[in-house]
Amino acid sequence: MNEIANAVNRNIKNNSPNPVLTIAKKEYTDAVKNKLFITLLIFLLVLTLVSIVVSSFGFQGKIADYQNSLKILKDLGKITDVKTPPQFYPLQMLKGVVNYLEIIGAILGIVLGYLSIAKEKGKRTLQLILSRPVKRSDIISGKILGNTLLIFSVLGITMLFIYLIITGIGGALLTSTEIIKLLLTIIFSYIYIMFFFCLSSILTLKISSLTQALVICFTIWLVFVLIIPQIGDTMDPDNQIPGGFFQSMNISKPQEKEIMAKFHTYETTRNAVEESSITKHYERMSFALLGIKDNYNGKNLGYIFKDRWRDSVWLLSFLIITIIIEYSVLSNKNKNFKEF
Amino acid sequence: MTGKINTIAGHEFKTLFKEKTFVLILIIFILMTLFSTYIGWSSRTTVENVYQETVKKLIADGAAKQPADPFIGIPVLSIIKNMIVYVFLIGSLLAIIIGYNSFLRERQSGVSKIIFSKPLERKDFVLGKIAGILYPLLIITAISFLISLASVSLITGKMLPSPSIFKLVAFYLVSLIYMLMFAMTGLFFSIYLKSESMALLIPVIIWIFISFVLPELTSALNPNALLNPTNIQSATPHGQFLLAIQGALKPFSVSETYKLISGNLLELDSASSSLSIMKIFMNNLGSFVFIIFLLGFSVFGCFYAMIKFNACEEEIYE
Repeated sequence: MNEIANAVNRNIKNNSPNPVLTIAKKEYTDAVKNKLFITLLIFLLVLTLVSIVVSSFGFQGKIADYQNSLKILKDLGKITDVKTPPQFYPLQMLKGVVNYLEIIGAILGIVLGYLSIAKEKGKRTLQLILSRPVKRSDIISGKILGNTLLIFSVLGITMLFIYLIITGIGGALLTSTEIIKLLLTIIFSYIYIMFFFCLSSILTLKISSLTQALVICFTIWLVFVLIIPQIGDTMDPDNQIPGGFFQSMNISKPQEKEIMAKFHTYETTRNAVEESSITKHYERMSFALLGIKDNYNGKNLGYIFKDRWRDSVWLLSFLIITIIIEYSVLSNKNKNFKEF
Repeated sequence: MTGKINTIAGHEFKTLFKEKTFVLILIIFILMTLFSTYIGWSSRTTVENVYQETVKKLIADGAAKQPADPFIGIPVLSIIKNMIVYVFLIGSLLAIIIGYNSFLRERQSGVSKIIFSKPLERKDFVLGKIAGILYPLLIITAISFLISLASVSLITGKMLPSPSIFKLVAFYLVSLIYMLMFAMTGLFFSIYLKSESMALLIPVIIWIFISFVLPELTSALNPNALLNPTNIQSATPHGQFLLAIQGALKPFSVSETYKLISGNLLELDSASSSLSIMKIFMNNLGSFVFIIFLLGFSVFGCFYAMIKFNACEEEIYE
């Protein structure tokens, strides 16, 4: 008999008040012992390290290029006023990390969602749990709670890792506002990963073949995370030239806006394509919070949320819808999951 | 011997097209092939109009000189430049799934135990599986080639010139080799590992490493920037350290090699349109040989894993 069924049974005998917590605890301990989860966690940390190291070397390279150019201009006597040197904003180094969270974070969510249901299906214990006086909704609540704690643990470890690299190796100190922005990024990352967790667990519940469920999850991941954002990105007129079309034309931002206003339909279509993917909303929100997009750099949270509130609402809506579907799939009284 | 290989390959081929997941990804790939031409054409038309508006705006603002049109002389074949990214993304994942499913099916149903109790050599079995993987990939590539050829000709209103057709053929052949490399990796792990989910996840992790991590180290481009075909030839890292890493790792970054060769074959810029197919391959010979080596290595790995595979004891689990 599966341990989770035993644990639930013990709780019932001992009149333990909360089967949700029991299931949550079991979810957490099962996952941290799982090779698949550990592999992904290590991979995510390695990618984070690679990304920050590359960003920091890139930044140092820019500083060196700037100093060299300045020296040449000074030697030639052509310099009259010194322009502002490239500014160091530590959170901007997290651009690659956000990109990797988009890709690996989503896979992590898929794997956790898959494992959460596959272990019950594989050992046929879901029917056993359902035969106990445990509400169907408690099973889902327990699974969601356990995996919420797990995802926050993963994000906590990743962010601590980032903090140590930035402060320890980079020598940069984060301000309290930057720390709050980092914490908010963790919350949005959680929403994003949890969406994939729910999606994956719904599909694993609904599809009888576990392999097929996993393959379909990866297909959806490919479409949401890579293909849709790629289409939107390559449709952007500014991305048709390396370094940017408008920059190559020496066009300022206000001029660019004025020109692009004449291509309203095209831009609306392109934006609609991008907005159909949860990944793009997560990216826009995180890039704004971390100041990766220059126009949000140094801005307060009020300004950022006023400008990007739609992305946070979209992100939450994606998650809430999948959670509702997940509850309704398992709470379907007519379904006894015999096929498992 | 050939008869047995053909039987296995034929069975593999028929079974594959009955699988919903394979058909689903295949449909996505074919649709994206169609869309890639449309997206390329639509972006190019728009950006040319944006250029005209930019010139008007600059003149109205009193600019003395009209900036040169950056899109003049860009060859027509580059309309389908997004195909490079779709092969790199969808094609590779499709290939992993074909390879992964290929042996997993036998293991799940327990047929592998029966097969190896018959007088069938394991190398024949692997050869049959490889042929069974190669045929669908060949068909997919051929369909994509025909769609690209027809759609570009339709949009431009004239047939592509024969040198461009040869370059298109060469592009799809390189794409086939690239996809085959991932299919063999999927097959290897489905034979070698005992866990179904690990057998799928490990090739996906390898794919992510090859597609995003190695190129980031050698070009300092973040994962999203790597998905824009325009950035293929412009990626140069800043700083001595990253330049040193680029020098050491670039020949082994197979996804970049694929994108670079493909970018030249699809004439992403006017400079590459003057290069012959032979010259394109000669310019990237070392890196291309490395792709072939990896393909050979993964095929060898499949044979090795199959020899080591214990049909009596091996039980696959979720």
